[in-house]
Amino acid sequence: MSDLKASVDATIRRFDNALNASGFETMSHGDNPKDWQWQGNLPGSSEAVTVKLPEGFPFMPPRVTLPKRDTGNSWHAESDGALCLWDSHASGSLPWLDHKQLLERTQEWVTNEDEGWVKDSPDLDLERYYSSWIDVDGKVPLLVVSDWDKIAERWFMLRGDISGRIEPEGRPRTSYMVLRSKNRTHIQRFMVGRALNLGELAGPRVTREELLQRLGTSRTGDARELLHKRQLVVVARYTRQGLPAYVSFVLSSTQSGVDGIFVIPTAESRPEVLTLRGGNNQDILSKKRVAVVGVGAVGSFLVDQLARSGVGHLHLVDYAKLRPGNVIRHLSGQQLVGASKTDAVIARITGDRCGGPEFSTAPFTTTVDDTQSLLTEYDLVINATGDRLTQQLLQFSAEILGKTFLQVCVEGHGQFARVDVCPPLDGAPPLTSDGLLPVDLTLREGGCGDPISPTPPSVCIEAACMGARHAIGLLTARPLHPAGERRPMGPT
Amino acid sequence: MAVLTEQFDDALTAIEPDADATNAKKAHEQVRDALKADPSFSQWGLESILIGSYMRHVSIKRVKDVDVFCKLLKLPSSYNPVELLQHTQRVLDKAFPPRNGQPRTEIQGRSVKVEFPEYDELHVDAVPARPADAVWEIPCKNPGDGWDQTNPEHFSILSSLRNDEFGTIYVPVVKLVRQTRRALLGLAKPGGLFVEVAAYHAFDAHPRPGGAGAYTSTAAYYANTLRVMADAIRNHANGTQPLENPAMPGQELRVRATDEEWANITTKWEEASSKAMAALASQQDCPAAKTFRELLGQDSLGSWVFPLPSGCNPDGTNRAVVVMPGADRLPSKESPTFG
Repeated sequence: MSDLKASVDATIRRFDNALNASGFETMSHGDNPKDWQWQGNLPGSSEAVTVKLPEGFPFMPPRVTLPKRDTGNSWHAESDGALCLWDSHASGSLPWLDHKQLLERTQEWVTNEDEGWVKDSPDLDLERYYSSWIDVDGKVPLLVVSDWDKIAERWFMLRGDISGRIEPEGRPRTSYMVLRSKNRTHIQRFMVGRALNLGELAGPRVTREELLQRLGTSRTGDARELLHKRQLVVVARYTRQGLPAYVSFVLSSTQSGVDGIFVIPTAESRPEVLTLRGGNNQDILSKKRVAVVGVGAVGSFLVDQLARSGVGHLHLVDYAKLRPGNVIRHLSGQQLVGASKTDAVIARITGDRCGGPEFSTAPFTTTVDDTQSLLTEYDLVINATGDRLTQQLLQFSAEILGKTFLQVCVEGHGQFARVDVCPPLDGAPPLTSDGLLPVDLTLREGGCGDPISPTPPSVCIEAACMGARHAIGLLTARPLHPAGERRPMGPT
Repeated sequence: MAVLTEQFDDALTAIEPDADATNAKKAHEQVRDALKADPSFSQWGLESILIGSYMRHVSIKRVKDVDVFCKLLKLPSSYNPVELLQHTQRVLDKAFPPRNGQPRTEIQGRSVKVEFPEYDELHVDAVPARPADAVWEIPCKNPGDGWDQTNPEHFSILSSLRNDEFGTIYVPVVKLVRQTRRALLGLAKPGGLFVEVAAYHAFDAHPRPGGAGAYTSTAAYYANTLRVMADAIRNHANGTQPLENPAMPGQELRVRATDEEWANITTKWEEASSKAMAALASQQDCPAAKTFRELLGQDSLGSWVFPLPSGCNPDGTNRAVVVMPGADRLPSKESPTFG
């Protein structure tokens, strides 16, 4: 037997010992964790408890059920009655391995259930309460709603793609009959959907009968009659404590799935949702204009980070074209080879996600007029060229105009990533340049005047991210450091 | 507490009679058929049943002897025990003639022993009995002394009731107790019936299932039964509180053993019960398992009855890592992390 298995067995024995000491009886046991089951009562109570282990124990919580209670439609129990005792964040410290915590938590659950969960924060993932999820060739698709108002209480076609994304397509109609007549050539080949607003839900489980009743009859299309001929996807909007969320159900004439319905996980793609994870500075950054000079190995990733963080306007300055050999150390992919680096970066960012910043471009920054424009018209200028001549020009102009800009680059062909605040704030001394070792440059590519720098892609990305953090610090008036940051990246 | 659920289950499997049980049944049937074929036994209304540890389902491997209780419902009162035993032996001698020049039958005390070498040295003790009101009479250990009263079915009924009362844990615990006696005393007396009776009475002291302080594991029942038995054995041995014969309420249990044998079992049982209780209370599985292993000893083939858990070394030290609650071993400790 492997040491890993022996350790899992030892952990189960410890758990068994502890539950027995708490008055629980071991009802079954075996070689696999899921063979183990206990029964007992909560301490000082007649509330019966059953504890079973999942196969992933001890790194998955035990399944605790209350055999004398109906937890069928609780927001805090799985479809099989297992109590939801810990969320993913609390699970990190494996609290269930302390049997006292397990029993206390179960008691808390009982108390909260009896009191109606007054301090509940709403989970908005209704699909996890259902055990029957639709799958296509073994993969669970995701239904994406981009504009609920467009489809609400209407009928529409649904199209899927190979990645498993399904979304409403075409013009939604007020009745199934109209949808069918307008889509005669496609209707048999595509899924039909209907959007329903379920409102504030009292419990997590919606039944097939409830959905059919809501779908109704007469002019809007008799759902029961429709189901004799084909499946129907119901895209539902619901709220919990006023917060909206979505789930989709697949209904068919056969009573398959659990309770006759399958579930498709559903997500929104409206702009507000797309930027939810962009960080806490979006309100401020959305009003900022930033110029990035050089959108190559460092600059392309830097621009991407600033766009993701919510900067309102990005002005990109670069004259070069994207060559095949650039791609390994660039934000853009092979399909954009041949475009200018500025266009390639914009295409990559705007093609990847909806919304995002406004963009403008320019090919060069070579004169003091160019730099004066940048430094006065933009809230921040970032030199990501790695070109010392460009740095000289910007530094000269910034000192005279009394402006601050950032230099973001890689030093020593990958030995250091550095961000310089130019000039340093509050008279702080600038960063040093010590510790650099000489590097032999031996790689060349036809069409490139300079030898190829051996800087690893990861160092470019790290420099870009450092640059983005410092840029955001300056833009939100909370500079991270008056002079910047210089971080060793290891030997090249 | 170290309950070692799987290991106690495996130990019970290790001492389960299995093939012995099948052979015992076959041997009984042969003896029964042989006696029934005799006109006298047929006339006397013979009904035979298996009694003893086998009937009460508390036999452990290896089953070497089986008791067949031959109820003679219409035995004439003129028959004395000596004559009855001699007649029984004659009938069985005919059915089971000598093999390799060695007789297969022998009168031993109150029964006739029949050897079954084909069943791995099993022998059957056929005990003739006559009705005596609500109980039965069997030859005394010295048949010349007349009849003794007994009621073996009654103990079997009591055992079954005890087993039902305690959620079927009683029978397995008695098997473990009998195995413990074998490990501690070997062939020395007192034998398995004595400890079984002591265990039966010990269960009177146990909390009932579902009640306050009820035991929840085989380990807890086993250790606490040994504990209660230690006092009972001492008191029976020194005569201060002899055990009652469950087969004959009001009758003291009579067991053959010398003073030295009584002293031996008293001392060893007290040691065993202390060790068992300490192992039960232990927070360390491996040393506890080593203790239970030593208490339950080895089977006839020299294999340990009680297995050590995987992750335990033979010396009782632990080599398995137990996963503990908490986040101390994580680099970020309790801090929320995101990826």
